[in-house]
Amino acid sequence: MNAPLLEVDDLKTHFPIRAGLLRSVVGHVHAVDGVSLSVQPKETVGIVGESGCGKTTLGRSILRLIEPTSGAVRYRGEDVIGASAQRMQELRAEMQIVFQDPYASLNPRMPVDDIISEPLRVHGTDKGEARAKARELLDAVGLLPEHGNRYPHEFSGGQRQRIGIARALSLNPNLMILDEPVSALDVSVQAQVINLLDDLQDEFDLTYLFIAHDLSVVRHISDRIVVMYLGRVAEVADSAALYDHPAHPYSHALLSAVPVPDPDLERDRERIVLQGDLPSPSDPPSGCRFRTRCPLAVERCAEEMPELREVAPGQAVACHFPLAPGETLIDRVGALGV
Amino acid sequence: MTDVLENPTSGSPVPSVGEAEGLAEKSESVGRQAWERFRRHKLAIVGTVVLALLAVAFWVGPFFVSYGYEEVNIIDRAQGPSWDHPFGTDDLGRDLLARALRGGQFSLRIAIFTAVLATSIGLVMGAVSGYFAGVVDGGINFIVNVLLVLPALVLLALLGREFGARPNTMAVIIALISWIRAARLVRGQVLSLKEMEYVQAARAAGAGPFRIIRTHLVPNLVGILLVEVTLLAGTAIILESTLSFLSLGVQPPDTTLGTLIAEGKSTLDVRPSRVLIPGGLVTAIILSINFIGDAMRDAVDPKSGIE
Amino acid sequence: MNRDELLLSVNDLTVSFKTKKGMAAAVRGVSFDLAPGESMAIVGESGSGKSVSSLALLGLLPKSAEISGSAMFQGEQLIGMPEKQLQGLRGRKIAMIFQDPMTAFNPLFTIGDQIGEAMEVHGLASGKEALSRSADLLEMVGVPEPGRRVHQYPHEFSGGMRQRAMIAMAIANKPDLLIADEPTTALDVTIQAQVMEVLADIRGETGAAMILITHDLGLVAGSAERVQVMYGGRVFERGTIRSLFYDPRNPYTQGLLSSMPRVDNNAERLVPIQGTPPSLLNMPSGCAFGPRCSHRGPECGERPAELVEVGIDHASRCHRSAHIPRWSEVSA
Ligand SMILES: Nc1ncnc2c1ncn2[C@@H]1O[C@H](COP(=O)(O)OP(=O)(O)OP(=O)(O)O)[C@@H](O)[C@H]1O
Ligand SMILES: Nc1ncnc2c1ncn2[C@@H]1O[C@H](COP(=O)(O)OP(=O)(O)OP(=O)(O)O)[C@@H](O)[C@H]1O
Ligand code: SF4
Ligand SMILES: [Mg+2]
Ligand SMILES: [Mg+2]
Repeated sequence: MNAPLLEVDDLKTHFPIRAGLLRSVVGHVHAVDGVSLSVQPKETVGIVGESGCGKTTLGRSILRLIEPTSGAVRYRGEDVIGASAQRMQELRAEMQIVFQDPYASLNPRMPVDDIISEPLRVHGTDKGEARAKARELLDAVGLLPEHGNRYPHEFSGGQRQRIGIARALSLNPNLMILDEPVSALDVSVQAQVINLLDDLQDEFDLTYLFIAHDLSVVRHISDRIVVMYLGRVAEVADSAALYDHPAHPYSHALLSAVPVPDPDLERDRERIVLQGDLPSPSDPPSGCRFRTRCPLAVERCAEEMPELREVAPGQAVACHFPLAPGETLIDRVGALGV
Repeated sequence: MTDVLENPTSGSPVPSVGEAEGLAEKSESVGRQAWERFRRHKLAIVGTVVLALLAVAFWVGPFFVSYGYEEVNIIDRAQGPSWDHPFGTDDLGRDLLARALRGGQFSLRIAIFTAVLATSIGLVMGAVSGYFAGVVDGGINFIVNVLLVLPALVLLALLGREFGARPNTMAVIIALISWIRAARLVRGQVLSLKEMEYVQAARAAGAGPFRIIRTHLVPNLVGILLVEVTLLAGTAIILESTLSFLSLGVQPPDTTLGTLIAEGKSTLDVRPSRVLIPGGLVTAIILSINFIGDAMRDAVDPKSGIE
Repeated sequence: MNRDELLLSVNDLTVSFKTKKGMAAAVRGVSFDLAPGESMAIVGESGSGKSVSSLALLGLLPKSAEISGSAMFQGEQLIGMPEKQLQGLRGRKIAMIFQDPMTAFNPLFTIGDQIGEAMEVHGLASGKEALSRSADLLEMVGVPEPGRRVHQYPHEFSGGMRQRAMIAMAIANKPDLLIADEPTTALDVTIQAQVMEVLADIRGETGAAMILITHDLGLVAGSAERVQVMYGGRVFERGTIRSLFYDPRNPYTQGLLSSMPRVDNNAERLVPIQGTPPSLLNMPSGCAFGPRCSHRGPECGERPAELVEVGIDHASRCHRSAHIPRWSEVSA
């Protein structure tokens, strides 16, 4: 294995919860609570998990748009969390982010040229050159360069997302953190943007950290997938392996809950419907985070937090009783006689 | 374009989605679009013309009036409108047309100067305190609270005594106590704007706080600021006349529209024109500023499309 | 099927909105039949007219909407029915489940009060009885500790729980028709699975028919018997789920299916539909899908196509039906 482009080590981001007249801190939201992962150059790593499990917070903490509480982020081996303001500015050119909301992520008062060239201007490129580059980028993301003097509201959701991508590309980054870049788009348009991301990755040798809650999209685009649950990593695996034989009970349930557009398959599928809701990240369960909904949970799960450990080459899982390849949750529950 | 449509499965060339969407090829310049949007507001055009005419009248008019604003003429005192004195005269026989023009000069100056100054202070304070949470915010909040506790009039009076009641000082003083509302509005907006993803995007690009405030926050605040300017212009005229009425404002023989209204009040039954004329001028000024503000808000908003 | 046996028969439903920029035709001649107990899905992208067509049935559109056509529900004409009479139907014979359960509940009243209220307005239960029935209903939809939960306020419920409470409210009066407008769009997949299971169980128990509105084709495959695909206010294809998923005949339906990434197999590359959905005020002349269609011919730009039968209980709106490759060839 080569040197990873990005390494995240036991990263934690906790938000204080304030209450009362004096706004004193009464607790913490454990949004990201000890996440470790690594990303190889030119790889696409998908991050999936349900709403509130900390995906956005993780992405932003890596870029220090939110200051993490503890842990380490290393870019090409260099410490990012401890980087000086000066160095951070330089690093930002290498790591860019694309946001979910195509409406909130573009300043409505700025023409598209200015939006795309802003990162360049921040980094000292002169106006004419920045604008020329912006027009090139518009072309690269499949928009017409002459539309650069228009305002965001004149574009559709999919087109706006292309603009957001062009902006992220402007500094020639290596790493792109894509935070649900297609979630807000219609199906037919979503595929256009996914293909665009595919093409751009080849063209510019990009590394993607692709955050999404839609497992179908993540499977399509990722080489490896990180499944998150309540601020922690439940499982990491190659995307084919994860779909073929998920080892964590949560991954398994998650996959079985995704509907497929095939009536016969839908009818015959074994579906595991998890009971209960996601616990609150301000008061996470002791031991395994998943134990309140896990059909396999036993006492040990409440007492001891499972560490992420490798169960097969390239597949790591944080569970005391991981599923073996080929074994389903239903087999296991049956065998246990629950 | 067509070859892409006929061959959609090839997938290789990225088609220009702009064309499919039907965006016109040409686009007018930003300034031109803003002017188009401004022009749609007929009342704003009227307001601009009225305000321009008033300004010309206030500053050029006095040269054509045969009486000075301070010229006392006991024989002609307390007269109604006539050929000689189109607006009549006051209790000292001063020509009310001359005085209205003089007063208009001061009132307009105070209104515009105060509104712009107070809004600017409010913008800076509000933006800074909203963007930087913590110490800075706390400090500004403290100033705001102190100002809220001190009775505005007392403060004005004290400052007025100290620095003399010239129109510009008056404007500065009124601005110094009336930026608070603007600051609060701005702070609230900034608190929500700074969480917008486009601000996060700018931060991700390495932009510093002042660049972000300047390029992303301020342009999105223009709408509420313009409303604030128009409101403040009215408030300033009224505040100033209250002060003048308490003889803390502009000192006689100088005058303002507010003072003229106050003086006319006692004879409202006999000679309503003494209130109606300066009152009408005040109304015209405030309405014009309002209409212009409205149109400008639209003009700076690219979303209010041109039909 | 005999017309008298139908629960709902919609004919040529058309809805236009008066807007500043002219009339916006959101729904253009939608027709469909629904048998008692049947489950039909309406799928389509954002703005295709799914919500508007169902809101029109219930008389829930704003005054700016002009509605024409006919909708017979249990022998009564819904279009143009006086408001008073509609109120008697809404929540009793026809109940609606919305996407956003937060806005469907009043934050100032307890969940129990609101479910009880739904029964009281139709005089079907009141007071203590209504409350205890609310608790039973919550239990039916799988809300834990229903006895305690009835006394809680909407904000004390999680999103999935609120959605279940809304289903409880919807079935309070044993309606004959449930209209579920994107009931799980705001929910996570594992919660979506819970809610869809509850909906299926409830329908099994009460025998209610359902119109499921969604943009998720996957959801349709597992929870409806028939589907219609809408685009630009028109039904582009209609059929049983088997015919629609295994033998889609309309280029738009085919396009939708091939642009979807799937969790159960991994296509190298997706085949998107080019362009973007049309705006209501700027509908293409001819076929609404024409400008994005890869099979378009000269006639497509001239006039809209008719919805014609292409198989048993299967219809497609396309001028070039005869030239559209079969799905088995496309997907191979
Ligand atoms: N600024 C903040 N202050 C306090 N809590 C926060 C803040 N930002 C996020 N959170 C909380 O942290 C948790 C994780 O949020 P995050 O947005 O990272 O989740 P997510 O996985 O991206 O969810 P989604 O799929 O809904 O986008 C949530 O419980 C959220 O409420
Ligand atoms: N009150 C209204 N006035 C004007 N136009 C309206 C109104 N309500 C809906 N529309 C328009 O009618 C069209 C159809 O809307 P509808 O809500 O039915 O779409 P939908 O298929 O439900 O989409 P979504 O998936 O976004 O819910 C849209 O273009 C919408 O903008
Ligand atoms: S550790 Fe225990 S509770 Fe957690 S996933 Fe494994 S079996 Fe379930
Ligand atoms: Mg998120
Ligand atoms: Mg809808």
